[in-house]
Amino acid sequence: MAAVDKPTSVRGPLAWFAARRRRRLPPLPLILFLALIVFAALFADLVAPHDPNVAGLRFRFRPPVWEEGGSWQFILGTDALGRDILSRIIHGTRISLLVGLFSVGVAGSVGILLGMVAGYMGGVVDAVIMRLTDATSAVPLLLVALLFVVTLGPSFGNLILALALLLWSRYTRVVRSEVLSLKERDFVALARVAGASNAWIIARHIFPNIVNTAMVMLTLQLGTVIVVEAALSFLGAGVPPPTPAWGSMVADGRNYIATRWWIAFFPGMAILLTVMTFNLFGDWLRDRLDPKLRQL
Amino acid sequence: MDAITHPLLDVRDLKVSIFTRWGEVKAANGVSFTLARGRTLGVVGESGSGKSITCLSLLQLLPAGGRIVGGEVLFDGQNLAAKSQREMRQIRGKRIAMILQDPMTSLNPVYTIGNQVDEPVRLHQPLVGEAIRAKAIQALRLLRIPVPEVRVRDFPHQMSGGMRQRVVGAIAMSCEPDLLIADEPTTSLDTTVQAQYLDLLREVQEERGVSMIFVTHDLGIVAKMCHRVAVMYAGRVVEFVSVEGLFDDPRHPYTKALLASVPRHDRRERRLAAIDGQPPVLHEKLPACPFAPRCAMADSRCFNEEPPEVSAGGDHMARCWKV
Amino acid sequence: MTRYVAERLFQALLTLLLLSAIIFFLSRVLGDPVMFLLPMDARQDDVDRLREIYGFNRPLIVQYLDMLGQMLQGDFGESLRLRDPVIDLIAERWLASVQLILIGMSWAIVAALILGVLSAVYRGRPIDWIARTLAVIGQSAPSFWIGLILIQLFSVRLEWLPSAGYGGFAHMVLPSFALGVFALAGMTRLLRSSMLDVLDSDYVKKARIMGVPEWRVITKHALKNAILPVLTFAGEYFALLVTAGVVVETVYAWPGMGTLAVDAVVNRDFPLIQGVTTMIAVIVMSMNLIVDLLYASIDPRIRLGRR
Repeated sequence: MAAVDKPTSVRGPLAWFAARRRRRLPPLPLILFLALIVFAALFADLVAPHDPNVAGLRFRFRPPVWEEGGSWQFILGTDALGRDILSRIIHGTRISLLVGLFSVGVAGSVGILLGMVAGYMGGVVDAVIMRLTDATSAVPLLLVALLFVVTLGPSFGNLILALALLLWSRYTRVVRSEVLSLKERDFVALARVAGASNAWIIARHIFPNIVNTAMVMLTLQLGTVIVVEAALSFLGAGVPPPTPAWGSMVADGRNYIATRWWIAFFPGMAILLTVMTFNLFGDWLRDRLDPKLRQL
Repeated sequence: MDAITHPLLDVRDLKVSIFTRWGEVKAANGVSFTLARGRTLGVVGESGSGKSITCLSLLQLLPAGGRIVGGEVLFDGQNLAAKSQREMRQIRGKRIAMILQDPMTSLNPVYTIGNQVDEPVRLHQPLVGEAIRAKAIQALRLLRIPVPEVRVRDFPHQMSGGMRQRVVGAIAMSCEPDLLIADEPTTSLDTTVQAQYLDLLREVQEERGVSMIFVTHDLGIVAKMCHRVAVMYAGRVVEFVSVEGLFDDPRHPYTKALLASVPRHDRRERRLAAIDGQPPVLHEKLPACPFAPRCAMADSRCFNEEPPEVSAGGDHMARCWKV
Repeated sequence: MTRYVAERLFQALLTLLLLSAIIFFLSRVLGDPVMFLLPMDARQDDVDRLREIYGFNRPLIVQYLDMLGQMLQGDFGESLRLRDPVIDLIAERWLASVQLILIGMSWAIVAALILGVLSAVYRGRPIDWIARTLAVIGQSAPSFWIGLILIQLFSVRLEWLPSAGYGGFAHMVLPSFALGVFALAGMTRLLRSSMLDVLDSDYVKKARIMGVPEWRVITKHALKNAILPVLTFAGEYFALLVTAGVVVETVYAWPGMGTLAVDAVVNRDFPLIQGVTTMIAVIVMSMNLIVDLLYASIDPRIRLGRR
């Protein structure tokens, strides 16, 4: 019978609808945007209509194509040095994504590891690690990162280091609270009875249970990192020029905001759309993997 | 007063649907039952049979998309199904109250017990000042809460589960309603606390003469608490019978299956075990008798023609071709 | 309650101590302040003499403890570049920053309360859709860019508001708006989701069953509970606002601690960096403390402890 063939545990008449609502794939626009961003980062050289760093003073301050005086040659206009804004945005994707992925990777690994150790070991270790996270979250971290980059000199590596320094504590706190409840569970007690070492229990029993949480946090943080990287670039402490970075492009346009608004507008728009894509993707991932994380 | 000709509650062919993006779910599909003053009606059925939705629809408090699409709810002569939300607010809490399943979540954690018992009194009784608190304390005392004058200052987290459920009961009884609906009020309590609470509710009923609807899937509770029983399946009342009739002379195959799944020697304490087959999924097209797919006695007529309400003598009704 | 406050205060002091150590050692490990003060071709004995004057030749731990002792007496040292006492420089600037941050935070809280509640109560309706779109955009847009766009729109095109500087209320509007957008977006989302949870809870259901009018269900029963999760993150949003404030101050040439700090960092003015970061940390931590106390005053489970 048609009515009987569903082997689901039906809890109330609406459960079936709830099950159906849990979609397998993110919404199509989101997939398209993600693909676009990754594509731009990978194949910037092929897609960009112009060389992002070649200045042509003849072409400076060209407005975007739909404004008076604009042309299809420079779709989003040119900056003060006559460089094509669209091409610079496309190349900037690469920097934003690389910086984002690397710093989230470093911050995530360190933060998650410390969170697991703090939650699992408890006691003095926990207290020390938690005070450290308190201290880092009370510092004006942008300033410390700025200090870092300024004194060590702006470079890709220093930028990653500075950003990782900024972001690790968040993971630690969330992972720790997760571990605190995990370690009370029976399978941990069983493993302990069976004589497993602490390191083994963390790796084998605790870690697999926080992977979902970690994945969601990493994705949601990617957006944050891109904004912070942009802020550092905006203050002049990003990846050194002439590499096109969105934040420094906005800074370039700052002095011309009154008359040549497009120089600052479009790179900022690129930041907005990229960050929004990662945020929405993170939201989707969270709803699928770890709904209790909603407040992140 | 003659309880049979003038029941407190007379639900006639009540139809409740929940409209979702994917279509209409008929949560109650022609529910009828009556309840006399001072008596207790048990509503029994599997999860998803429409018990809770039916109770909420009496108060016109349905989940989003839910609507009463037909039938009448005659309460003390007035049709509640035709009343506006504004009119219903004068009924809720004042004439009909309800106790929910879980005492741990039924009390607002940021307000004191006193504040929460006061609230319905403040809303529904023409009292002011000290009289409100006095009335609240009276309700707490009715539910046998020790030193209520002191406990009113406590917050919910300072009380045990059993104590909290008594507070929930006190809130429900604070305005002396005519009808108390209890939606599985003891499922989340320990067995001993559960028994105490059930005894307490019976005493309250005797003291105050309140009518009760007891939603449960525990036949032991039905035997202990109820006078009459409505067995629900797939949004319909399939059997409506006195509690004696339920245990001694069940007519509907579903009721029989329910009883068979309880071990005979200790029927009062056991929960329902599983019945073969799956409960129906309500959005799908059901056969004329929704139980037919799981029924050993079903024939082609059961799938094609809706069974009528058949009298099995006196006020015993069953909805089945095979009665 | 007193015990709780004392505990929190002690923790805050400990954090502050740790923080001063981090900044101190970080700045000393990263660069030599003396090299920055002297011309590139300075002679070695000049370098040594300057080190001696500032006490930079002593072991780091001694320098740190020395600094700590002076800080406890309210002496934050002298700016290497501006030659003014750090405490005076901060005193000149801190009020402007605090004004900006408080106004930014306040409007964000008020707007988030309204938007979050409306969006949850009218779930799936146009107002919900608008609020959620605004929140998603607000969470993704960098504040310095918002700042520039606002200048282009309201100062350049419409000529309604000044584009930079410090003055009356008019100067405050754009920077505090640019600053508050992120917190607004985050808090709206948080409040919406916690409000949806609470509206679905048994105690709200029970209030409706008992005939409590809907507006009272929302304001009395739901909102007070729904605010708790938001409050947990309020301290964090405040810290983020302070950080964003550094950039927004730069955009609007706002004479606050943010611009002072950026100058200090760029010039490697270590006493000034130490002073400003400590000051900012104190502000952030006192805010966190206030938030914690507020939380305890709303939630009896914290205030009275679990039994």
